[in-house]
Amino acid sequence: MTTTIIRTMTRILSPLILVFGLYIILHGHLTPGGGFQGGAVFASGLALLIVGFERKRVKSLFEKAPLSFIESIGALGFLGIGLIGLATYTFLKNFIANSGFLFGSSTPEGINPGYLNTGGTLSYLNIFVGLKVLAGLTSIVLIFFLILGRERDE
Amino acid sequence: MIEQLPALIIAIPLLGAFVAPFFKKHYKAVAIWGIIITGVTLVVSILLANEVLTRGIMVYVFGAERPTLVLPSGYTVPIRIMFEIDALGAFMAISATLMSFIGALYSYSHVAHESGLEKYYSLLLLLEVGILGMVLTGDLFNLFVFMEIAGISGAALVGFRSYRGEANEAGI
Amino acid sequence: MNSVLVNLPFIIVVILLAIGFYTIGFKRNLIKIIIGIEIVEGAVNMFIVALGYIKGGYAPIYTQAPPEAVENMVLPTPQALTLTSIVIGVAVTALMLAFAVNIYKSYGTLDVNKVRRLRG
Repeated sequence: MTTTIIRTMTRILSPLILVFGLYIILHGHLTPGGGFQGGAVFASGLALLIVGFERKRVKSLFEKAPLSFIESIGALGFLGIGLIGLATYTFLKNFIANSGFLFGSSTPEGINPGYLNTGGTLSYLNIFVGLKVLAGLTSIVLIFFLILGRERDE
Repeated sequence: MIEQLPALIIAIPLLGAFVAPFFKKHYKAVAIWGIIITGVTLVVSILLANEVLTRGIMVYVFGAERPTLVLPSGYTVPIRIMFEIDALGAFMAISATLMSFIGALYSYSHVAHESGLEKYYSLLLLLEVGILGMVLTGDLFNLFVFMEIAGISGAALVGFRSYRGEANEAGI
Repeated sequence: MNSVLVNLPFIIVVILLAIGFYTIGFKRNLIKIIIGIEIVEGAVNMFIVALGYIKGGYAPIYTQAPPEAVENMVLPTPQALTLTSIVIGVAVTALMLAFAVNIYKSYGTLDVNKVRRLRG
């Protein structure tokens, strides 16, 4: 299952897929995409890495990766931003828009080429949801791969 | 503080369900954490029922200041996610939180010898979030989403003891 | 002929629903039943998206749109609902496949007529 052609193409293709997934997550408020779609693309890039190498190398690479920790960070970050909004107005209010923080300029109206700096809490929520989806889907594929216990070479 | 209660009754078990996987091997600690979270939710739901019985129907909007904010083009449809709490909903919320509290108390000793116990408490708290959201919501789409949360958590909780065959057959 | 072309998404939704329900009811292998549930889920998502079509509309995005597309956009609300439904479908499929793997490990077979130890 792991011939030379597959290994070479995986080494060339997988960084491109991972970067494309990050692009879809970050530009969620301008182009189609957002948290879940970008997380699914990133997880499919990691699934390509899992399938394209042999079992010992996959096991040694992915055992050190703290996947459940990333998932918990994603979930707690989402809830934390909602609760910070609770302290001022209501739950999940957009309190970063029109202020001077990282994602907080104001949007011009009508048709425009999109500016990345706008968007408010929506961009933070996209990032946290992307982290959680990525960790969840990758751990599903990893557990299904490691549970088979078959060492075939075609 | 009293006006923010409908958001807190969803946010507190959700916070508990996502912090619970951090306790990797301390099974007594995660059981006590589950009992604390369900107890606090029970107190909040009793406060909410008291509020509704004395002051009428409560409407809570996620993310805006007033519940009648309209689109700038003139539609007069409320466009946010809304929670609406009336007396029937408050009664069902008290019943659901009471059942979850008793369940958490009983599983302090019932599942004490299993492995992977932090996932059990996380699933129990997520099931409680799903039932409470189904009861307290104000439109049909929220009903669908919370029903899915409750369904998936319930199915995973049924098939929890996976060393024999029957649990998996019941789950599928 | 014109009314068939206009209603083509809905005809395909009915065909996919028929195929999906036939697969759920008449097949014996557990994996084929799971595939049948997936087909029904895809048909329902397509139905929700096809409901929001306005004749001659553009995609509902403001970034670098052509200038006559400001009032003529397709409704974006069913697209948000469909996204939530797809996410839920992924979670349900992952859960079903995990249960199927465990059933195979403890029963030794995937035939639905033989996985029957629970009664009542």
